[in-house]
Amino acid sequence: MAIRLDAVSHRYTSMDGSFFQAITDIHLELGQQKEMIALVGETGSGKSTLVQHFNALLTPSSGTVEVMGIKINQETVKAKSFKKTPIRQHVGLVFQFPEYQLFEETVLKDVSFGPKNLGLKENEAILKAKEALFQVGLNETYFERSPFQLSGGEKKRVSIAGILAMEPDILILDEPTSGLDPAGQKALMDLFLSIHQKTKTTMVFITHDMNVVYRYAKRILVMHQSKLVYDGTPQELYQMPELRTWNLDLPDSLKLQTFIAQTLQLKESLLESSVDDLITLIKEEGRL
Amino acid sequence: MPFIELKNVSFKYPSKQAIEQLSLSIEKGEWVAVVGPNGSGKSTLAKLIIGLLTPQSGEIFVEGEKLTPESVNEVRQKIGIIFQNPDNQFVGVTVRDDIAFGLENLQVPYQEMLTRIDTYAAQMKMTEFLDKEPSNLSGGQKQRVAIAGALAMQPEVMIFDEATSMLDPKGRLETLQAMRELRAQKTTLLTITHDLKEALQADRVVVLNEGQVLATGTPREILTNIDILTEAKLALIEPLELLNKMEEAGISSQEWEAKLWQFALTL
Repeated sequence: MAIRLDAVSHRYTSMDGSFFQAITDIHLELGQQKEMIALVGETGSGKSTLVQHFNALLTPSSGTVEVMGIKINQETVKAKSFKKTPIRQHVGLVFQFPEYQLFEETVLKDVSFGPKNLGLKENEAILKAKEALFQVGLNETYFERSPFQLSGGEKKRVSIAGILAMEPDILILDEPTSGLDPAGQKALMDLFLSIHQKTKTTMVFITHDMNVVYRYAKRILVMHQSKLVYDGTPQELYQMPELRTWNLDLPDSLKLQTFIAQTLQLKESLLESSVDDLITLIKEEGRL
Repeated sequence: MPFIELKNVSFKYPSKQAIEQLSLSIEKGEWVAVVGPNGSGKSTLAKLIIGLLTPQSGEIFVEGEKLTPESVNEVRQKIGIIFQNPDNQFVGVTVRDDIAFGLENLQVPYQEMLTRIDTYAAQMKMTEFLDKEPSNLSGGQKQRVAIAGALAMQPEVMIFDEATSMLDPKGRLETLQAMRELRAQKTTLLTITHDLKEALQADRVVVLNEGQVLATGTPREILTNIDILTEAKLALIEPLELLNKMEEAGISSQEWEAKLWQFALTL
């Protein structure tokens, strides 16, 4: 139940025949540990191109992607027997602004479209759709409503339910909270976390927000200029001098902890201290 | 006389009331940040001020002049606006063409046009990109081109409608820096955002909720007020959460407050 990338590169060809190298020589394995994984990097660093290899939306220009034992490369995709459907079922990809892709008359029809496409009978697909909608916090009062009359946050939930209804083992989310207000962002990320904890689904989410990384990710991948430059824990990444080169920011929590440590002239670092921990500390040390 | 004044403005979309009996004034040279949850009417407000939407009732004045179908073109020249998605606002093949586009529409004389392009490209630190295609720039660079294009029209107020929300951290900081530079030059700024770290920089914060002004005040008054923030589905930023809890615990001091406030402005 895993995805493995072996020396994967992808280049796009422009209309004038020139090439653009989007990702270069990526080696990566995920899905074994059932983790919440953050994928970060500047605009144009190759994040979206990378994740589109995880479910065979893109075929590597060179190298091989292996999804659940199925090899995807320039050779294998030419075979008549090569089928993408099983890959799509294992690996669900939610695009940025998925709410623009809703199209059915009712919420329930929209969400059951995916499982039906996988070959499920109508009533089974409806059942899966209902379960998925409950998972994302939308009850039966939503089932017969038009997706177009929902709020932005609700539309996002509907489109995510559409992917969850296919019961993927790995869920890829491309900037899932973009466009939402802070409360909506937190609600959605908390939802992903609870789904992850219940179903043990591996989740990979693209984000620019290091505060989200700090709160939700156990593992982080960093893309920089088409290369995967870091794959490890966020805690180690925060200590790395390369952070600036990669144009990454530190989470606010960490900046605040560092600021308090400096203000109190403490030697030790305060990594992972909550605001309440800081209050206790300032009570003890707080004479300025 | 306020520079922009809205008096009892209401606007309804076919399915939803967006702005209800809203009154608001913005002084010349002031930086006002409008914050609020999705659907609170923030973006509708911006579209009403630039005359892209017409209120069903109420009046809008810009420098004392009432916004009407007759005055809208003249009034709009006083206002520059930057939208959320940097990719949706380019028309030119090169950065230079793009900045020139608005000026051609205004029929600015050719020599004057060249001068303005150079001036505002330099101000936004985009001079070396003048002959590049906008599509090849980073998100932050694209927003700086859009700002240069808007500034070249020499508006008296700049509106930023969620202009940093789709940018990576570097692009966000570049755009915030551009806002600070404009403030330093006394340009009137209206920034619409749900990034409270952006709102912190403003002179005054207006909280919108369900099309009405829920609260207005200094960043200090609004952004530490947990009741207001909760009602508007916004979250306290961490240094201010710490500040609030220090006050509750009776361990705050003016010195701590000043330090935490300074720190918050760097985020």
